[in-house]
Amino acid sequence: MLIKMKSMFGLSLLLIGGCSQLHHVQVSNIDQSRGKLTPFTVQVNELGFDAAQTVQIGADVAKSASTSEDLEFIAFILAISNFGPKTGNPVYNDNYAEQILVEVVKACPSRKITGLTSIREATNIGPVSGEVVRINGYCIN
Amino acid sequence: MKKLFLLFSLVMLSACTSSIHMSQVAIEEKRINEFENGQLINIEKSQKNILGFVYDTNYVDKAYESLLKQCPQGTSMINVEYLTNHGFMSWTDKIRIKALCK
Amino acid sequence: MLNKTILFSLLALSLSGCVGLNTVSMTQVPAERENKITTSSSSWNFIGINFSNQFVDVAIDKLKEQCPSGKIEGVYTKHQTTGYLLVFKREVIVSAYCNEV
Repeated sequence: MLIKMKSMFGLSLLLIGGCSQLHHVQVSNIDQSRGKLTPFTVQVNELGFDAAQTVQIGADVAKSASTSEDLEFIAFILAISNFGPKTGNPVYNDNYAEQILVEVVKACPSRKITGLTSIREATNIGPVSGEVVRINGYCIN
Repeated sequence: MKKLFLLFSLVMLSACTSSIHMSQVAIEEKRINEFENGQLINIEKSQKNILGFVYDTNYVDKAYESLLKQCPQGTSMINVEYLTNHGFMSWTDKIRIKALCK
Repeated sequence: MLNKTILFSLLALSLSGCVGLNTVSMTQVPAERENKITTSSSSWNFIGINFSNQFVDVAIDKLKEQCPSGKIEGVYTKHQTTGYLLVFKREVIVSAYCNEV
């Protein structure tokens, strides 16, 4: 009964997680006096994965007590091996937003840009997520 | 065999993870036409943090000073990224600045 | 009586939302600050389940509408979340100055 409840809890955690998260937003100046504006969006994303949380869910739904204990120990090792502040789920590549500046320049051939909004967001499905850096802006025509 | 697989998985999963907290792009609108003449610079400064015991954030100031030094005429476009590389009971905070000098 | 007290306390608790600041940002403040424009946009969710962050774009569109031919400067942005027991309100509040060029 207890295991069933834990399974339900694990499943509901997965379902609860299936959503958008907004971490950071910054709106900058918008100049509408120099011509018509055409919106553009540049977005980079990377797979986020919380290994410790995944193993912990595994421990919660494990049938035998010994497996559950082992998995809990692994979750603990993973948690202390990846210590530090987190925004969204951790990623295994810290360079995924490296090209964002170049992409913004490319997105606007006229190279007259205004109204840049920098957004850090994520789409979660349980312990897995798409970690996103999105830049919205306007090209001045 | 099972244990070996488990150990391998554990090592793979505990490979250092990272988290980008923010990445902000800003432009200097009046100088936008000077894009092509500009020079793109990269600055990265970091600080090791063990269990949260750090007493300053000077690495950010150093990155800023470096930017001022490398772009004496100012910048026309700038990207500031703040991220953390996770580690065993410790982590490294990083500031990355990419800028297009005027 | 006790039941009513508990019910009333729960109701009061759910109505008085606790707000938490997520992020705050601002751009260069202009000298000319006559025409202030403000806007906000929000998104409600139950126990944190959201399917879109579209409300941010709505705030920007509303801001642009208030200054159709001018320059929006000194943009001050607040991103906050208010919690009412199991229901949460995510909100972006933007204020700026509209200066005609």
